[in-house]
This record gives sequence, C-alpha cells and structure tokens, in this order.
Amino acid sequence: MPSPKRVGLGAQVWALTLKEFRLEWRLKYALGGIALYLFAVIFLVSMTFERMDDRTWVLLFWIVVLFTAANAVARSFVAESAQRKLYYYSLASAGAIMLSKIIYNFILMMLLGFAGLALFAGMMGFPAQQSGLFLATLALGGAGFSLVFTMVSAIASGAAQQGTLMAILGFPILVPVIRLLSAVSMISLQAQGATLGDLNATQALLFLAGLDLMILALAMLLFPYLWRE
Amino acid sequence: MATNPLSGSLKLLTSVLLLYVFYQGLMGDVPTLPVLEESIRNLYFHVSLWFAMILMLLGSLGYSIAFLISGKMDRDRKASALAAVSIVFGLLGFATGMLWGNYTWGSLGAFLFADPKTLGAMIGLLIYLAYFILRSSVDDEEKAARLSAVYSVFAYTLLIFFIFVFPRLSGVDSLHPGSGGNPGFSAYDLDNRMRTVFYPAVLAYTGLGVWIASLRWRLARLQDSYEENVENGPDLYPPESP
Repeated sequence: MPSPKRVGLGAQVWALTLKEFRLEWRLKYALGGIALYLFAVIFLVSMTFERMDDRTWVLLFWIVVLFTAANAVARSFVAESAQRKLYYYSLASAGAIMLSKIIYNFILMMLLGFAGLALFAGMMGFPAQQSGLFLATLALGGAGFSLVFTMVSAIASGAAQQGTLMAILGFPILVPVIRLLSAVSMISLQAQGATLGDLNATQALLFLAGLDLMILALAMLLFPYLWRE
Repeated sequence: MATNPLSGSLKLLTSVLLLYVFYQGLMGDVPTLPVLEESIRNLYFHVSLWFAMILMLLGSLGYSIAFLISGKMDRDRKASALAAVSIVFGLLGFATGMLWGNYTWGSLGAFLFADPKTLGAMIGLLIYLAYFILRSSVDDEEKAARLSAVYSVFAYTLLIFFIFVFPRLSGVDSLHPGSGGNPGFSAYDLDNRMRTVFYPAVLAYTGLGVWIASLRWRLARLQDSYEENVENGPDLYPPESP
C-alpha cells in the first residue's frame, strides 16, 4: 500500500473538495433533483397552509431544511462504491477525506438553505424582524445539519437499507439541534434585544456554534475508526 | 468457565437488596406530603431505575470506546448487552414515570415532550433503538460492532452535552423536582429516611441489570465460539440437533 502522506493535508483536502464539485457538476441531474425536491416541498407547504402564523412558519421552515439536508447530504458516502472508497483511502488520509466531504456538504447545504429561505420568503413572506440574526441562525444550523448527516452517511454507508438508516440514525441526534434552532429563531421574530429565558441572541448563537464545533470534533475523531478495514 | 466467587456474592447481594427495596417500597414508612401522598414510594422505583439505566449506558459507552481502541469483540458484546438491558430499564422508567405523572401532574403523557428530562430520555431511547437497527443491518459482525460503536460514542456524547446545557434555555423548565424552581427531593425527606432505601435501590437495579447483561454477553460469547469451532473443526464439534 502506498504511503498516504505524500502530499500535505491542505493539498489533499483541496484536491478532494475540488473533485466533489467536479463530480457534482458532471452529474447535474443529482443537483437538479435536489433543487426540484426543495421547490416541490415548499410549494406543497404553501398550497396546504394558505395562512400561517409566524411560529408555524419557523417550524415548517426548519423541517423542510432538515429533510432537504437528509436527502442532499445522504449521497456523500453512500453514493460511492466500495472499490472507489478503497482507491481514495489508498491515496489520501482519513482526515483529508472527511474534511473534504464536510466542506463540500457545508457549501451544498448553504446553497440549499438560502435557496429554501428565498423560496419560503417569496411564497409565504418573511416574518423575522431581526433578519441578520435569522440568517446567522440558518448558517449555523445548516452547518450542524450537514455535519451530522455527513457523519451519519459515513456510518450508514457500511450497512444495508441505507436510506432508512440515514433518517433513524440522524433524527434523534438532530432533535436537540432543531429544538435549539427553533428557539433562537423565535428570538429573531421579535424586536432587537429580545431574550430567551436568561439567554440573549449572542449567547444563543455562540451556543449553536459551540455545538457545531463539538460535532465537527467528534466526527474528525471518530471517522478514522469507520474506514479502518 | 468456572464461577467467579465475587460475581456469586454480588448476585446474592443484589437479590437481598431487591427484596429489601420491594418490601420498603410497598410496606415501609414514607413521609406524608400533600399532592405526592403515597405516590412518593415511586421514588424507589422510577428514579432509581433511571439512575441504574444511566450507569449502565455509561458502562456501555465505556465498552464501546474500549472496543474502538482495542478491537476486541468481547468489549462489543458487553457494550451491546448493557445497551439492550438499558433500553428495557428505560421503558420501565417511562412506565413508572407515567404512572407517577398521572397522579401528580394530572395526565399520563401530556408533559412527555414539554419536559427537558423526558425529552432527553426519549431521544436516548430513539438513539439506542437506532443502534440496534444499525447492528442488525450489517452482516459482518466485526463491521457491525465498529459502526455501532462509532454511532454510540457520537450520539451519546452529543446527548450528554445537550442534557447539561439545555436546561439553561429557560422557558422549557423541567417539571421534575430539583429543577425549574421546584424543590429537590432532599427537601421532602427531612429525616433522610428515604435515602436508606433509595441508594440501595440504585445499587440493586444496577446489579440486576448487569446480571442480566452478563447472561446475554456470555451467551453471545458461547454462540460466537461455537460458530467459530464448527467452521474451523467440524470433526471436534459435530453439529448436533438440539
């Protein structure tokens, strides 16, 4: 087996991330499919709820983003054949592979999340008073979703019936994240300076960022054990 | 395998403690308090069951980490056996909690998702049910052990982190004693009488759980070694009809 450390970690991550984007660009139907999925779900929501209060708007938005993330990020490890994985692993280190997937899925999630927000706002209005806070929440929440699903996808890719597994493995972990996200979004619905219990908006965002960092650290720490075969 | 005298005396101790706890729980003296009334006896069952569950889940987490480091299948057998028994204890914890909530909070399950402690327990239950689905959907045993150990460490660490920080987001205060401005149980138990049953109860249930789990992992160990021997040397161990 050739030594995996012929090039530096940064160069490996860069090359692998670039590869993800090229692959996505060549398989345009996959990206198109997920974009259409997002549009169809939001269209469905706006048709069924003719009027909704702000709380419902926020909760539905997060649920739509959650399901889009589950579908979009699911492909990251699951889509690759065992032979191709073996080939990557002979070329690059585990950390580089995981980091490149995380970076790619994060960017994909940001694109989908903000596209979803634009569609939601276009069809059902945008109730947030502190839009900056809401956008920051979306960025941090999207990061959390993409991190959890990247890791769960890496776990599920070794098992049978991967589609169901993605959901049942990922959702319990994300319940607290969703709970926190909807709580922070409730602050952004109110005027500047609103608080949530004894937390103000900055603290809540810091807490979300801390949660993201924690998931990232766990994923980087545990991933090497997944592909050691 | 010879019987370990230590494990024998632990089993004896567990049995004696269980008898003591059940006698005290049903017949012993308890403080008489408004609202709680006789339902305070549930402290010996509900609370100590969940203490025992958390201890066993920590054990399971420890064995999962040990398996990832050492790669020894025996560590994985212990981790999954402890997790399986913890699920049963968790379900019993829910049952006793609902019974209690019915008399003190006024309904069986209305507070199920409003209360951070119940929510945390529910998420934990979902995580470990998913853990077993994951294990059963991988054919290769070593791989199943590795994937599920990684998932267990990943999910449980995040759950612990969440349980400790979530109560800071008030507006989701717990209805449980000792949080959200409710007095803890020590305030009700002025003469410390209940402690003399509560701590033995935690010990007894943990002992019982580990006992059941040890039967499971020993059975799994025997099954694995039987299969291995049948594959490697069918002459020495001819397959018999049971």
